[in-house]
Amino acid sequence: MNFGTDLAPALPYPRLRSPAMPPASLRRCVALLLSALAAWNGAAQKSSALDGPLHVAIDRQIAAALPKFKLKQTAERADDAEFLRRVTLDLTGVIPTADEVRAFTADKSPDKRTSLIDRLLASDEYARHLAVVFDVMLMERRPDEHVTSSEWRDYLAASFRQNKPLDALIREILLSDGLDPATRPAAKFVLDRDAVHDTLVRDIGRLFLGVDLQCAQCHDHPTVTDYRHLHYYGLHVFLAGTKLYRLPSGDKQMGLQEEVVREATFASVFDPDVQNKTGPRLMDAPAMDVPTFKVGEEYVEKPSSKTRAVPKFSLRKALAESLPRSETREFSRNMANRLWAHLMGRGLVQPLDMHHSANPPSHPELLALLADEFAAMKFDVRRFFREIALSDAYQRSSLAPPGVSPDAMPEESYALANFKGLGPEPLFASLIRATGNELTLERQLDEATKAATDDAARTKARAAERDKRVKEFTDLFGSSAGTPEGEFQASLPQALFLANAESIAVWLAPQHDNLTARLQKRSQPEQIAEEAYLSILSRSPTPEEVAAVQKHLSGKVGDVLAIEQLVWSLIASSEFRLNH
Amino acid sequence: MSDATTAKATERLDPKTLRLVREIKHDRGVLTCRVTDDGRRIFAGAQDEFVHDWNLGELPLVDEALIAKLAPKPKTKTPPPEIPAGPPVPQTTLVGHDSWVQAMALSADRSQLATGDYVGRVAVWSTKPGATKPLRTIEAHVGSVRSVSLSPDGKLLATAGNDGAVRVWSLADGRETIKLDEHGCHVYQTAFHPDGRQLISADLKGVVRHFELPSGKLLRTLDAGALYTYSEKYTVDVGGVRGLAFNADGSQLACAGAVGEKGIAHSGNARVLLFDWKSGKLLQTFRPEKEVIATAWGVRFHPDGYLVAAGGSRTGGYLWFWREGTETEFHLHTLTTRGPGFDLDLSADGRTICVAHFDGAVRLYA
Amino acid sequence: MLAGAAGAGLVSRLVEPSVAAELEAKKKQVLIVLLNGGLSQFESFDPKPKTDTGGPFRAIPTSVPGTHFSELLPYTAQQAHRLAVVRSVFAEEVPGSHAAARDYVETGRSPVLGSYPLLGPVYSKLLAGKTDLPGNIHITPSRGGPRADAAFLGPQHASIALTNGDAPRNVDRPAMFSADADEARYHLRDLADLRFSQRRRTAYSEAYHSSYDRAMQLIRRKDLFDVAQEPAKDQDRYGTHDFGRHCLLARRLLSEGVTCVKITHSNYDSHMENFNFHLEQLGEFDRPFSTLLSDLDERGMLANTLVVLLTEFGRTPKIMPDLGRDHYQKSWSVVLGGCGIQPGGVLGKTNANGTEIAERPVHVGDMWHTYLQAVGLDSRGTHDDRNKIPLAAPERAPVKELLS
Repeated sequence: MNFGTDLAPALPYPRLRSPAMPPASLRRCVALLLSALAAWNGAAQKSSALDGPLHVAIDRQIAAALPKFKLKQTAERADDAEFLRRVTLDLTGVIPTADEVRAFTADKSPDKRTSLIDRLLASDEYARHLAVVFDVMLMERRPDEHVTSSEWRDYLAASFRQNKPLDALIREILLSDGLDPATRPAAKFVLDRDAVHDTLVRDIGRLFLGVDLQCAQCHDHPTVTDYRHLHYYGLHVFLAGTKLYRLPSGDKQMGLQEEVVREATFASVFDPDVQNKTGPRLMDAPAMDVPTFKVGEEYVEKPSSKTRAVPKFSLRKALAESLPRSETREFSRNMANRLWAHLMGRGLVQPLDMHHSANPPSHPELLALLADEFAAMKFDVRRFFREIALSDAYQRSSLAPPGVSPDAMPEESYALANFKGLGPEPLFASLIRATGNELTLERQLDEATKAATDDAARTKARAAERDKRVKEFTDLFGSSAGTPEGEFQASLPQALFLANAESIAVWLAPQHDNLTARLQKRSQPEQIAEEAYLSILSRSPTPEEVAAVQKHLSGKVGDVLAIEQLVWSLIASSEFRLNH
Repeated sequence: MSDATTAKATERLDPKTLRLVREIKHDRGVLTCRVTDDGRRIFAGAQDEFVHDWNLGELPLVDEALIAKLAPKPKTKTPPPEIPAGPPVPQTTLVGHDSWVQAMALSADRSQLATGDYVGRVAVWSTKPGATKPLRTIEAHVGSVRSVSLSPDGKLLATAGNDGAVRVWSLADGRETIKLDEHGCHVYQTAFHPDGRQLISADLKGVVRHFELPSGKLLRTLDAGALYTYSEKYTVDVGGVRGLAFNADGSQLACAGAVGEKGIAHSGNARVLLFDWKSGKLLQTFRPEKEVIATAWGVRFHPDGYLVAAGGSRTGGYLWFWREGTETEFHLHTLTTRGPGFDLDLSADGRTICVAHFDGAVRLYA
Repeated sequence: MLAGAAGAGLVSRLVEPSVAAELEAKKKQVLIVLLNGGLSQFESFDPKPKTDTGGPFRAIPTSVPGTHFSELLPYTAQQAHRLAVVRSVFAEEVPGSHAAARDYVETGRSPVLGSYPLLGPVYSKLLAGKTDLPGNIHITPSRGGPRADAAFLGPQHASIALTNGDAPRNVDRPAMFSADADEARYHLRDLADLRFSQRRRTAYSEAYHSSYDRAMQLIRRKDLFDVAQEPAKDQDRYGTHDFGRHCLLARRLLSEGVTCVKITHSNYDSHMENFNFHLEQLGEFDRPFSTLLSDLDERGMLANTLVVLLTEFGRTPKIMPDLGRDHYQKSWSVVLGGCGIQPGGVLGKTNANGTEIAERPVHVGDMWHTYLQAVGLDSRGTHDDRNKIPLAAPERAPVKELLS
C-alpha cells in the first residue's frame, strides 16, 4: 500500500486537461504528497488499530451488516465505464471525456482502477472540485459579504492541492481574523456570517460537530433529547466575544476582534425565570478553564473605539485549538461521515448533522473505525478518499443483482451503489463536456471579455463570465442560501430550464466542433449512437439502444433536428442527471 | 426679476440678518400657513381637523422674551434666571373640517380664506374676527384636497386633489364652473396667474398644465418632470411639484420640490425650477450649495427680487434664498428644530416670513 | 421524499386517524396576500381617527356592526363579515429590516434562528394533492421577485414565480423544437429512462420524470397564466392595473386547483408621505381584493380556501417629519378569512392612540400555528424529512379564538 509507487507509473490514459497546472507545480504537488505520506507512515501506523488496509476493513464491516438488512448478496462490481464516470464525477466534478472512456475500458492492466483513483486525486481538477464541495458545505451558498467566493475557493483549492490535513484547514478557518492577507480568505466562514453568534454556533455545531442545535437555541431540543440548551450555550461562549472590526485600511474591509466573555447566562423560553450559566464547553465535555486576568488587564492593548480588541486569552483561538482534533470525538466522527457521504451517497449517520443516540449510525462500528482511522492518518483527506474509493462498496454497480428487487436493498446497506444528484457546478461542467461545447464556451468567454486590456483583467473577466453562466445553474439547482444541499429533488423550474432555456438550446445547436455538429457529419446511425452515448453517458450503447437510435434516425441521417432531439433526450435523461 | 443693486436700496428684509422673532406653539404638527399684509394675523392648518386663526392684536411682532431666550448665554457658574415667556397669542379655532387641513389660500383683499382637508372637503371662511363657522363647504374631491387657490378678483376658487382632478368653483354660489381631469395622477398645486385669466395646475409627475379661463381650455404644458422620479426598486412615484408661485407681474413661475430618490422612495435633494412664463423656457434650476436630503415644500417671490423656499426632511429644516443667475443660494437659514418647514408665506409688506413647522409651531422670521 | 407518493386514493380503514386527518386536509387551498413594505394599521384595519397618532383619515362602518375600518378600504369594509381581524399582532424586533421581518411573519420563527420554509412551500408539501400543477405559485410585482423560500424543503416546493403576472420562465419552447418535435424528444427521453430504471432504484428517476411531465403539462397549458382568457366583465371588475390583474390571475389559478397562491402587492414602506402612499396603494388594493374574496365565496371556494392578508410589520403611531411612519413591531393588524376561520370578529385591541396592545397580544409565531391549523394541519407536528424539525415554533400556540 504505497501511495508513492501507485502514482509513479506513466499514465496510460490521456491526461486530464489541466491547463492551469504546469509540470513544475505538478512536481511540487507530488513532492508535497510524498512528504505528507512520509509523515503519515511515521505516525499513523503506530496509532492505527488495523492490520490491513482500511478499504478491506470497510468491506468487512459492510458485509457483516448485510443480515441486518435481510440481504444475502450485494450488487456486482460496477463495470469499467460506470466506475470511471462515478469516480471522475466524485473526485473532479465532471464526467469523463469520450476518449477517456475509450482508453479506460480498453486498458488491460489489473490495477487500472487504483491508478485511476491516484491520478484523479493528484490532479488539479481534484483540488478545484474539492474547493467547490467544501465551499458549498461550509458556506451553503450564502451571498458574498466580506470575502469573495473566488478568493475563498482559491484558498480552499490551494489547501486541497497541498493536501492540508482537514483539522489544520478547519483550525485556520476558525482562527483567521482576516488581518493577514495570506490567511484572510479563511476568515470567510466567520466574516460572511457577519460574525453573528447564533449563526456561527448553529453552523459550527452542524458542520464541524455533526449536531444540529438549531432547535436547542431557546430550550432543550423538543424531540432530540441529546441536544440540550446547555450545549448550545456552551458553544456560544466561545464565540460570544467575537465581533466585526473595520480595518483601518479605509476601504471598509472588515476583520475580526474579540471582547472578553467568560460565560453565558441563558433561560429556556418555557421556563424564563430559571437562569442557567455555563462556561465554554464542547457538547458534554466539561467546561474549559479560562485563565483570569485583573480587571483592566484582560486585553493585549487597552481597548478603545480606535483599537481592535485583542484579549490575552482568546476563546475563539481556544475553540480553534480544541475543536478540530482527534480528542474531540464529534469532530472526527462528523468529518469522516461527511467525506464518506460524499463518495457513498449517504452518511452512515443521516442526516449528516443529526448525530445523536436516537439516530444511530447504520454501521456503528464502521463509523467508529472511520473516525479513528481518519484521525490516525492525521485527517489526510486524499488518503481517506483513496481508501473508500478502493473499497468494493464504492465500486459496486447501481444495478441490482438479477432477480433481486432494488427496493429490497436499502440505501443504508451500501449493498447497491447509491445515486447522487449532480450538483449545479458538476452539472454545468458535464453538460458542456457532454455536448462538446468546451470550445464554444471558451469562445463565448473570449467574446464577452475582448474589451479587457491586459491578461490579469482578462483572466478575472473570464472567471466572472463563467461564474455568471454557472450561476444560472446554482440558482436553479443549488440549495437556497444558508441551507445544506439536501437529497436529490427535481423541480418544475429545473425541468423547464433544461427543456426550453436559450442557454441550453445554444449548446444543442450545431456549432464549431460540438457534439451535434460532429454527429451531423456521420452517416451511420451506429456510429452516431456510439459517439453520442460515449460523450454524454460515458458508455457504449447497448444493441437495443443502437436499434432505437437507428429507428429514430431512419431516413433522417444528417437531419439537425433529429440529432438535436437525440442529444437532448440523453442529457435530459436520469442516467445523465444522476451519478449512479 | 429686479436688478440686484436696485433691490438692495429698497430692501425690506435682509436674509443675512434674518432671525426668528416669534414662535406660536401648537399641539400638532403644522401643515400650512398664510399671513396678512403686516404679518400680524396668521391662519394655519395642522394635523387636526381645524383651521387656526392667531391674531397678534396688541402684541408686538417681535417677541423680546423669545429673543432673550435664544440669545447666546454667557458662561457663568450660576445658571441665568429663567426668562418668563411673553403673553400667548390669542387664538380662534375655526370648526368645519373633518380631517387635517393642508391646503389654504387667502383672497387678494384678505376678506376670505379657503381651506382644503385630507378627505375632500373645501371650506370658505370670512376673515372677520370672531367668525368661526364656514361661509360654505364643498365636498370637492375624492380623497385629499392638495391645493386651493383664489382668483385675483376673488370670484373663483380652484381646487385640486389626489383624485387627479382640478376643479374651479364660483365663490359666490359654490357652483362648479370647470372640471379638468387631464392629470391622471395626484395634483399637488394650483395657481391663478396674476392677470386672472389663466390657471395652472401641477402634479406628482411634474407636469404643469396651463388652462385658459374662463373656458378651461388646455393651452400648453410645462415640464417640471425633473422633480419627479419613478422608483424602480419600490415601484412607486416619488416627488412632484410641492410648491408653486408666480412673481408679481406674472412673468416668471417657480416650481419647488426635489430631484431623485434617497433611501426608500424618499425624495432626494431640494430644487426650485424657475420658468419664463411667456416662453415656458426653464431659466434656472436652483439647488442648495450643500446637498442634503430635503424637499422644498413651498416657494415665494420676495418683492425685493429673490426667491425664498422652505423645506427640509427629518434631518433638518431650511429656508433657502436664491437669486436668478446663481444656481446656489446666496443665503441659507437653518431652522432651529429638526424637521422641515412644510409651507411658508410672505407678508405683503415683505418684512415677515411665516413658516408652518412640522414640530407643532408656526414661526415668524424677520 | 416524493410528493404524491401516497395519493389521496389510499385512504382506508387501515390508515391511522392522524394520517386520515392529514389527507382530509389535502383538499384545502390557500391565498396569501402580502402587502410588502409594512402596511399601516392606522390607515387600514385599526383606525384611530382624530387622535394625535391617527392621521387624517376617518373610520367607516363595515358590514359587521360596531367594527370600523379606515375609509381607505370602503370595499373591503363590506367584506368584514367574511374576515377575522387581529389588531394585536406583535413580534420582537429583529435585525435586517424588511426581509428579516417578512421571514419572521412568513416562517413563524425569528430569523436569528436560521432558515425555515415560508408558508407557501409548507402548504405545497403538506397540502398538495394529486394535481400536476405547481403547489406554490407566487405572483410578484414587476420588480423584486421572490427569494428562495423553501429552505430545507428543497427546490421541489419552492415557489414558481409569475413576475408581474407573466407565465413562468422557460415556458416557451426553443425555436428548434416545434410541438411535434417536442413530443419526439420527450419520447426518446422516456425510453432512456425506462431502460435506466430496469433493475435500479426508481425514486429519483421517477421524481425526475415527473418534473418533465409537469413541465410538459405546463407548456401545453400556458393559458393557465393568461388572464386575458377570463371574461371581459371580470377584467373590468378587477381593474386593469397590476394588482387587479394579479387578483384575477389568483382566482384563475385557485379555480384550477393550485394549492397555494401568493400575491405580493408593493409598496407600503411609507417613511415619507405615509398618507399619500396608503391612499394610493390601498386605492389599488381595496376593490380587487374584496372582489376576489366575494368571488371565492360565490364560487363556493372560500370554505376550503384560507385567505391570509399579511404584512411584515406595522407602522409607528408617531408621525415622522416627512409625514411618514416608520417600522413598528410592537403591534399591527393581520386579517384572515375563509377556510377554518371564525369570520366577522375582531381579536385583540390596541390602546386609544394605538401605541400599545391593550388586549390579547398575539405573537406572529401564534399566528403561524393558526395558519396551519385553519387548513386542518397539526401545527404541533414535525417535518418528516429532515431532523424532525417542528413545523411551528414549539413555544407558540394556535389562536383558538380565530379557528372555527
